[in-house]
Amino acid sequence: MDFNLTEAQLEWQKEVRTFLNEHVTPQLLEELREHEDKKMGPKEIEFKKMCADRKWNKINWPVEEGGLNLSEMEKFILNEEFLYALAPQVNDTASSIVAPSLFKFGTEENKELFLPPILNSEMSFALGYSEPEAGTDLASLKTKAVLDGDEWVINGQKTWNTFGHRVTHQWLAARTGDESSRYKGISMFIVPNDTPGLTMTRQDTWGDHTTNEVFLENVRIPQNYLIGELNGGWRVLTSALDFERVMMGEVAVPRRAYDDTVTFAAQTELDGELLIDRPDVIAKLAELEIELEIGQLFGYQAATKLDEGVDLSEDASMMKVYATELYTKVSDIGTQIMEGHGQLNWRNTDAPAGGTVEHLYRLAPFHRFGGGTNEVQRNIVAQRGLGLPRK
Amino acid sequence: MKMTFTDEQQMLHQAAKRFFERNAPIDMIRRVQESELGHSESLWRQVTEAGWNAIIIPERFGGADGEITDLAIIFEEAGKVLLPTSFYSTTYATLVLNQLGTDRQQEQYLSKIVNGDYLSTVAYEEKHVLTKPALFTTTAEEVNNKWIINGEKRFVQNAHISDEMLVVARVGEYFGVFAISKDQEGVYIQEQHTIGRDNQAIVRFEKVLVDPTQLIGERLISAEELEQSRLIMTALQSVEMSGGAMKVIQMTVDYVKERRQFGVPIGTFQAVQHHLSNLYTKAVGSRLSSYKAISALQKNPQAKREVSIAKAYTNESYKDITVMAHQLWGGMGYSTEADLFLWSNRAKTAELTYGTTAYHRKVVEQIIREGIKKRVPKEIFI
Repeated sequence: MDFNLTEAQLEWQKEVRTFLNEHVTPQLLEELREHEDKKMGPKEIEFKKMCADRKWNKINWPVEEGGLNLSEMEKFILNEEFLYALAPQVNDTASSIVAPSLFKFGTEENKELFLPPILNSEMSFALGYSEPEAGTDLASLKTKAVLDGDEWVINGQKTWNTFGHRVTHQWLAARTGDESSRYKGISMFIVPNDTPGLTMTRQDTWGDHTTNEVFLENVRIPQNYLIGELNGGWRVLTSALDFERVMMGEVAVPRRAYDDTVTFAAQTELDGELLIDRPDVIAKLAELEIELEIGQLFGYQAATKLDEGVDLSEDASMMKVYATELYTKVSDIGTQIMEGHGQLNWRNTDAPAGGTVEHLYRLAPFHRFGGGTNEVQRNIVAQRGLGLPRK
Repeated sequence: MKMTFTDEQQMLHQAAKRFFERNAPIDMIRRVQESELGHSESLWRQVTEAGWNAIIIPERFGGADGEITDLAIIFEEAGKVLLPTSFYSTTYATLVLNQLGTDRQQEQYLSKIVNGDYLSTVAYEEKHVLTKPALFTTTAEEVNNKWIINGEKRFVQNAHISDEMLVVARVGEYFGVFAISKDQEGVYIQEQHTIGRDNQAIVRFEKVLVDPTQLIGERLISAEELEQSRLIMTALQSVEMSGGAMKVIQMTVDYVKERRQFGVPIGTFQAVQHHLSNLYTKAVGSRLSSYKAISALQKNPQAKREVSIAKAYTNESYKDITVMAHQLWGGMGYSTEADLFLWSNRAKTAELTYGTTAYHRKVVEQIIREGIKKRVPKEIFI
């Protein structure tokens, strides 16, 4: 057994890291913060273009469609580095959910219509899944799509539409079966945000994360904007889930917060002593170091299992729970170690670590319920991993 | 990166699994624990015949010339069945002999171990000294071409059934490892009654006269050299613990699928599923970090970071798993008619041997401090 990255993998890691060190500038980070609730700023657009030139936004595409022929471990390493650098996510909804779904489930017509603009970064997407009454129980969604001549007419409401305000289209899940059809009566649609009848209102969150409510009132879209099979949407929706959870289970995010906390503690004096020299501080850091290491092992295991073609449904859920709960633990302890300065957010020029640890504390809960709440993930580990009975 | 077994390792794993399932059923293990001697000669013979004692012994002494990963695979399966610790203590002695023994000593001892004719153990800890050998009060003095050993060791595993103990004595700033028989004059053994019911003892040495040929390596060694085998044993025990932890999870899953209350198996209750999900996560993390420690030691005999991370995490995990298992099994698992408590005993014993969580976290603390000194200060965009 060997738990180290190979020479080639280390080279790849270095390549990605070098790029990020050069291009994730303080100015880019500032623009990201400023534009969080607005459309993408020029620096972000430029950064994403550089990544697109390297095809780093196509890591989940089949090779014959222009994807990079990367192993799962290499993808994992890339994502780790991007998350750690707080860089804009280039594997966004369009490239990592919509495009792969089109490849797998789209009709020829779907592909002809939508792949070229996605390839040219002319189309961007938000996930139109959740509704006020349909969160964890997504299969109960009510937004309805009815065929009228050669158009679909959509009525309903979506919520928690992350990035809705920044993108051109919705990747929408709607009910095409009867009221009680649950997951058997759901279809996927692409809906342009500027279609008449579609309105959006802003939702602010505790984690400074801007999201949206989307109202659809007699929104009409062409018939061929139905993606894949009628009533086959649930399969499309769930096919991306394991990948999403492996992404969400990366400990790179709390690792960054931890490293920044260590740096801060090593450089900051309080009451006449360096924080890092305080026994309680170094003890907490050691505890976190151990838990972060375990989290990284889960991630590497998932990536190697994917490469070996082994089923990993319980691993993905396990790591998602583990990593997201570590977000809270690391940011809670990190802000404690920073004492009074732990209160300062990014608007203060002297905020420790640019306010990222304070921000992570408020952002952490989102990751615990988002992407499938941790209770459901635990159910999956118990049922799929240990064979415990479903209800 | 390869986090799964090679084909060869997979075969070894299957063989070990089958062997222990067949030859070490829990009721037999229990009888051994409760017996006067605390040792099963027939099980020891079977372990020997299966080749488990020979795994890391060089071929020229009849051994399999394997790696410590191969040993770890045995330890993992042994941990699932609560194998009596004579295998572990003899392994420790084997590691010391492999590392330090002169050709003659290796010739003398290692082939006997291969044949199962030499049970042994390493006497290391003392009443007031656990992790700082420089403070050992068990000393060896060279007088008229012989060594005189004085002192007292504790928590010596299987002293009463060992053919010889390898006793670590301080000689000034250095250390000598002496092979001493319990029958030698001046050696007194006093049984310690432990939660693990695993044959530990206080061994007193009063002016024990030892021949220079009994000094392993026929030279004194440094603290670093002494630590090498101990790091390996810590990692091996961590793997053993992760095996036991996974076994408890499996038994508990079986239990909650069977046990019915309110008309349904209690395994359908979400609280029960969530407990088991949390525990399973800990067991997987323990196993991965323990094998990582083993793998790291194969490349770097001083891989303290990986070893301490594994032991610290596994200490807490195995224990938490057994404690929560009792909660899930209820009265059925609390009664000593059930066997669950045997693993609970082992979890606590193993936690307290080869370093508690606090000790290993301190090792990690030191590594963090050293890392900071080496680091180029990073811009964190303040």
